[in-house]
Amino acid sequence: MKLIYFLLVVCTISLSTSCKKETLNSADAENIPGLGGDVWVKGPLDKWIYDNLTIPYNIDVKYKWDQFELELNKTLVPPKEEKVIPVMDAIRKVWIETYIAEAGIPFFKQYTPKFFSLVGSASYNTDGSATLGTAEGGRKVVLYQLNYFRTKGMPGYVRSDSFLIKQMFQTIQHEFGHILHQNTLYPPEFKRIGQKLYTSDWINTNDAEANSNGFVTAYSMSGPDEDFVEMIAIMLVEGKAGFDRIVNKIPAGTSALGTTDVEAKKSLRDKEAMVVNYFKQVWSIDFYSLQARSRSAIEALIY
Amino acid sequence: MKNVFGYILLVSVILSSCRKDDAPAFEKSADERLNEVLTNYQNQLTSAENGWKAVIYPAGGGAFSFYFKFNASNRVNMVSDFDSASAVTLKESSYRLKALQQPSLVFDTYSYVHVLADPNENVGVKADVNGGPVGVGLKSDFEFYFDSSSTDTINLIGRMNGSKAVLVKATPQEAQVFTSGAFNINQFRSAYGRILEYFKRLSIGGQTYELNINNTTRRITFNWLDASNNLQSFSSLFYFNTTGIGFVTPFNTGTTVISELRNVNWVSASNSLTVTIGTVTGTIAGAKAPLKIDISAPQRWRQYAIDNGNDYWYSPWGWHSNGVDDVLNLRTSIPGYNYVIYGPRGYGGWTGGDLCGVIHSAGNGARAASYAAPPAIANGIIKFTWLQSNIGFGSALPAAANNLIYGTTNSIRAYLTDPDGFYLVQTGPSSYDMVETAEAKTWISWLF
Repeated sequence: MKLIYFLLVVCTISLSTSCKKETLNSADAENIPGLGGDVWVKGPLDKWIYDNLTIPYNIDVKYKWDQFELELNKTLVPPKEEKVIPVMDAIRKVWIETYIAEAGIPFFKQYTPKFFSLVGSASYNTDGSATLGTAEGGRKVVLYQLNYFRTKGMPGYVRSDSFLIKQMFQTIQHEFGHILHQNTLYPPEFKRIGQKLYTSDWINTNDAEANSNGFVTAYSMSGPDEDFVEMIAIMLVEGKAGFDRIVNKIPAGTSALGTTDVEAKKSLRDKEAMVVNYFKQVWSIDFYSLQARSRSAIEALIY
Repeated sequence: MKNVFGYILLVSVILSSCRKDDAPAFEKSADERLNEVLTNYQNQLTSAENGWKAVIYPAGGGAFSFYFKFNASNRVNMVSDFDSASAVTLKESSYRLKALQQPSLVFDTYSYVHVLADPNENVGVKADVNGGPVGVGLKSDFEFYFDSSSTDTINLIGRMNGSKAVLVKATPQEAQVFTSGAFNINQFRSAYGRILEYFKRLSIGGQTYELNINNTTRRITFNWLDASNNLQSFSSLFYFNTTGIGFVTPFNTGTTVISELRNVNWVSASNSLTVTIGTVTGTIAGAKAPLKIDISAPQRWRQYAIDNGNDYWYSPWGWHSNGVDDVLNLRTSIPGYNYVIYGPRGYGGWTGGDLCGVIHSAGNGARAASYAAPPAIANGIIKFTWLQSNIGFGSALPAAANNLIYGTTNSIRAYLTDPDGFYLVQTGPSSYDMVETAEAKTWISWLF
């Protein structure tokens, strides 16, 4: 007992004497470097982004290098300044303005990713493949290889540059698709269309094989969520005619995984119908009209 | 009872251990001091009214010179000696100072600094920006932390790859050259290229050095003979500066220290170059033979291919002659041309002799002529004797292309069977240059 009492006394004494009572001065916080983000003298590029994307759509763009937005172990470079406006202007025309035309500004402001991070090079993986777009948490989209972004009319444009343009919009539409279904899930029937064929081994298939199994891309075989948003992305980027081409070119016969061409085509058509229906029911968006707008905006950039 | 002493000890320790002295070790908080450091560095960078000349040493090798002019609005203008265009085209981009783990300078939009760090591309887009491997580049940096600095010099270290950069305040004259498009790195290259002989000798202060300048690897090598007639060698990376080339490692000759070659000028009367080193003028002239012939090189060269799987030496550029690269125009005249090869007897199963010819991708073919094996080697000179043409594997080539390989004139065969023979100069662990002996104006570079 005595011992406990004694220890209590000791503790009380030391506690009451050892703490330095210091009041926090809020002015100190303002001196912390980098708190509240980096600062630099704003230039015309910053003004363009602020006026054209931040004010109207609540979207910010980071084109200046910040390793912490990216994978720390990858060799990457920031974008060329002259590419920033063409890239963001294309995004505005193809993605922002088409959605707004169909669904209105309030819808767009509420659901879009708010932050774009731009990278000049691709992000190369150890297996030799490269990442051309990533997204996180419905908030941030990272676009790569933009130093090679060229649209029709820019010096040196060749038709193969359309690969990068389409890849970029596929990334954006894909991620926006995730945001939509994470807010209101698509009907569970969608998951059952090709249920048995979802596989973690999708990386070893190619798009043509995936098509023959009723999937729009190899990546869509990775799971129903990815399948759903890949459908949205490909349909919006390739347009109605392009999607029809993908379906119609599935060769006759049975795939290695045992899907017949008739089944594969039906799967894709069923998924298409569900996507269209989902946009109508949940978001009151006429998908085919959105698709036509989106595709013609892309065509304006590449043809 | 023993415990009581313990308690007393404990209490006294507790009561006495905290010294209530609130005076901080520093006068200002860490944040204030960091801000101060960043501001000071920024001021130092922007206050250099003539800007900074700099050399970046990518972790992947090489040395590249730059000129930077920083302004207070986070903008920087620069030129770089990466290529002849970047040397004369002033380009503006963005920079900022940032507190990372250390106070750091970040070139935060694409510039000539990033050209060295660019990972290059082969997915979707094919682009070879700097010649480094895809996904890696030259392992250079564009985020640097301040390692040390004085008024006139700033030492930076790359945060990702550990490249080094040294910034030195430029003089008004240097700033004028860098900013007016007068930083012409081709001036040195073209003057140097007017000497047609493979071997080049620098004579200065009564001494003679054999010079070798490799523009691709940016390495300069000096060879000389010591008192007992042994070949000595010194080599350094170099970069271009406003008056010529500067050495990363100065060459101490024993009597003088050579850190740069300045004012290289062609003197047509003597077919030679004059060059200034320190305050002394030297001359660089062509020579028909090496300072010391590498007697065993021809044998080593041929044996290397035999010992390494009986494979072949190859040369993407083919023959160089009288200042002209690929003098036979093999790269444009042979469909699907890959490279010239030389394979010692036994390569490809051919036992009739050594083979020399062309590997081409038109149907995965090879066309070759056969030569007497082993070739004649005497006093460090190798001579080849032709035996038989049209040793072919894979698909055939058009007659004109075949003639470039084993026609009797203006062909690989004609060059190879030069009656004067060749010296072999080892340029790396698995690379040799084969130089014609009579004039030393014709050569071929072999890689393995």
